[in-house]
Amino acid sequence: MVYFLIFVSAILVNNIVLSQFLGICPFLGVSKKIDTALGMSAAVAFVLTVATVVTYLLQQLLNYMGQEIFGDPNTFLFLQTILFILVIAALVQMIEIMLKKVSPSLYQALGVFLPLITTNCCILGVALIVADPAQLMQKLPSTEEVTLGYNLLNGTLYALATAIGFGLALVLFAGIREQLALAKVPKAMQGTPVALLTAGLLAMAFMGFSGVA
Amino acid sequence: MNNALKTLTNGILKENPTFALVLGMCPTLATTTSAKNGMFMGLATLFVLVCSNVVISMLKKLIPDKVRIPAFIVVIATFVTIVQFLLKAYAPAVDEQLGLFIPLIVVNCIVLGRAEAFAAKNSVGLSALDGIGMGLGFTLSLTVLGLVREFLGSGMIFGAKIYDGSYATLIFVLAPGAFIALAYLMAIVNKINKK
Amino acid sequence: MEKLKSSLPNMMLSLVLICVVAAGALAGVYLLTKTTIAKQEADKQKAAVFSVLPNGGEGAVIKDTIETEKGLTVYRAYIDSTFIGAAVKTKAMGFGGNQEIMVGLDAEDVIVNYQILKHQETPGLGDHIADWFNDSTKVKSYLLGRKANGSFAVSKDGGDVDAITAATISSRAFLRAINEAYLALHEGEGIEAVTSATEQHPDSVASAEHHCEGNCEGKCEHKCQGKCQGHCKHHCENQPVQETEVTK
Repeated sequence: MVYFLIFVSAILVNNIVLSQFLGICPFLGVSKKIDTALGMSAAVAFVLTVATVVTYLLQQLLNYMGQEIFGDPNTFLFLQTILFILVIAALVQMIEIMLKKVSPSLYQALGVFLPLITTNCCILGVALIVADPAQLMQKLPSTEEVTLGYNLLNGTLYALATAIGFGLALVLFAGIREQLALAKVPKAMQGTPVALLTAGLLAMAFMGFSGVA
Repeated sequence: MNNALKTLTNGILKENPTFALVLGMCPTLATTTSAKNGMFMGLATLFVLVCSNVVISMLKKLIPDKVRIPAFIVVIATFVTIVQFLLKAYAPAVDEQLGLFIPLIVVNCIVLGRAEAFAAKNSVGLSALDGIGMGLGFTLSLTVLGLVREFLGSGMIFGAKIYDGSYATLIFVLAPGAFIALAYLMAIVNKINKK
Repeated sequence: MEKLKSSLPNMMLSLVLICVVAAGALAGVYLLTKTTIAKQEADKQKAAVFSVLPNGGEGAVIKDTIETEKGLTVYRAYIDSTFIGAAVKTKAMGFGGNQEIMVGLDAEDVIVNYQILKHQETPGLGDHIADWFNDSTKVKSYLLGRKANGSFAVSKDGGDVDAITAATISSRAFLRAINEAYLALHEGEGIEAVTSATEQHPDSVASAEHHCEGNCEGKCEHKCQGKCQGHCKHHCENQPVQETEVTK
C-alpha cells in the first residue's frame, strides 16, 4: 500500500514538472505533438530509472571509499555533481549505441530524443535527490504505521514514479497544445507565453491532488 | 570598445536568456518565490557563467573538437561545485533556500549554450564580458519575476511589507503562479520589442 | 598555436588533464571550506536546540543525545546534573510532506518553545504552523506554557486546540509531532499515549514521575537499577548515541 503511495505522491501530488519545476525545457520544447511527447516520455523513463540506479550505487561506493580511506563517508561528496553528470552523459551515449544494435525499431522511435536527455535537469535532479538520504526521505510518503527506509528499492521506485509523472504531464500538455494550435491567440501571447499560461492552468489542476498522499 | 559594449549589453537586452532565448526555465520558475531568492539564483549562475566562459575560452585550443562537450561539462560542474561549497560555508541560508537548484546549474542550458556558442570561438576578454552580460540578464529577469510574484503573492518586496499579506493572491507564490506570472511578463516584453 | 586535432591520444590526454585539474581544484575548495561548513551546521543544530530550552538554555549542558526507534532525537539538558528539560527533534507527515519540528519541554513537561526546522506545507495556509501555536493572542491555540501529556488534539477531533484556519491536516500533523516528542522523551517509562483527548490519566503519569524524581533524573547513566527499575529503564537501555557535552 505504501509503495502505491510513492506513485500517487510522485505522479499526482508532487509532479516533477508541475510542482517541482524539474525538466521544464523538454516540457516546453517537445510538447507540440502527442507522438513526440510519448517518445520523449518513454526515453526519459528509461534513462531516469537506469541513471538513478547507477548513480545510487556510485554514491554508495563513494561513501564506502570515504569511510575506508578517511573515516568520513562524506569525504568524496565534492565529486558528486561532476561524477553524476558525466555518468549520465556516458549512460545516455551507451544506451543510444546499445539500442541501435539491439532494437533498431526502438531506436527509431526514441533515438532523436536521447541526446537531448543529458541536459534534462530532471535526470540529474532525481539522481541527486535519491543519492541523499535526507532528501529522499523527505520525498517518500510515510503513513503512521510505516516509515519507508532509505534503500535502493525505494529510490528506484521513486525514480520510476517520477518518470511516469513527467510523462503524464508532458502528454497531457501536448494534447492541450495540439488543440491550442487551432485557437486564435493575441500576437504578444503567441508561442511560449501562451504555452506557459496553459502549463500554469495544468499546474493548478494538479494542485487539487495535494493532500491525497 | 564598441564591440565590447555590444557583447556586454547583448545578454541583458537583445538576447536576454529568459525572455528572448527562453533558456534555463527550471531555476527561473522554481526559485523566484521572492525577489531575493531569484536574485541569489541569478548571481550564482552569473558566477558560474563568467568563470566557465573564461576558462573554456582559455582552453579552446587545447580541447579537441570531438570531446569538447564532456570537457565543457567538467569545467562547468567544477565551478558549480565551488559555488555550492562557498554558499554552504558563507551563506547557508541561501543554500537552503535554493537547495537542489544550485547543483542543477550544471544542466542549465544557458551555461553550456554560451560555452559552445561564444566562449569556444572568442577571446578571453570578450568571453568574460559575454558571461557578465548573460549572467546579468538572467539575474535581472529572475529578480523581476521574483519581485512580481513576491508582491502579488505575499504583499512584500525584498522581504519588506508593502500591504497586508492576507489580501495577497497566494497562487503567485505557488507553482501555477510561476507559470502564469512568467507568461504575462514574457507577453509584455514581446509587446515592447515588437514596437 | 594550432588547435589540437581530434586524434585518440589527444582526446584522452586533454580530457584526463581537465578532469585531474578539476578534481584537484575541488579537493582544494573542499578542504578550505570543510571546517566552516561543519561549524555552520553544528551551530545551526545547536541554535535550534538551545532556542527551545527553558531560559534559552542559559548555562545548560546537553549531556546525552538519544535517538529513538521512530527516528526522533532527544537532547537532554542539565544544569549541574539537574535535569532542566529536553529539546526533541520530532516529525510527522503533514499536508505536503514531512514536518520536522524542534520542541522544548521542561522538567515538568511544559512546552517551552518550538521551532519548525523543515516543512512542505502550503504557503499562506499550512505554513502558519510556524507562528500559530506560539501566538499568545490566540488563546485557544497557544501551546507554550501548556503541559504536554501526549494527547493534544484539534477541536475537530474532540481536543482543545484550535486548528489553523483551513489547514486542519497541517495542524493535526503538528500536534501529532508534539505528542510524539513527549512520548519519545518518556519512552520506556510505562506511559502510553492518552488516546481520548477529553480523558486524561493523571495518576499513571504522576506515579511514574514520582518514582523517578530525585533518584534517577540526571544520574541514570551511572546507576538506576535499584529503585527506579522499570520507570527509568530507558535511560539505561538506550545508551546515549553520542557522549558529547555541548554548552551554549
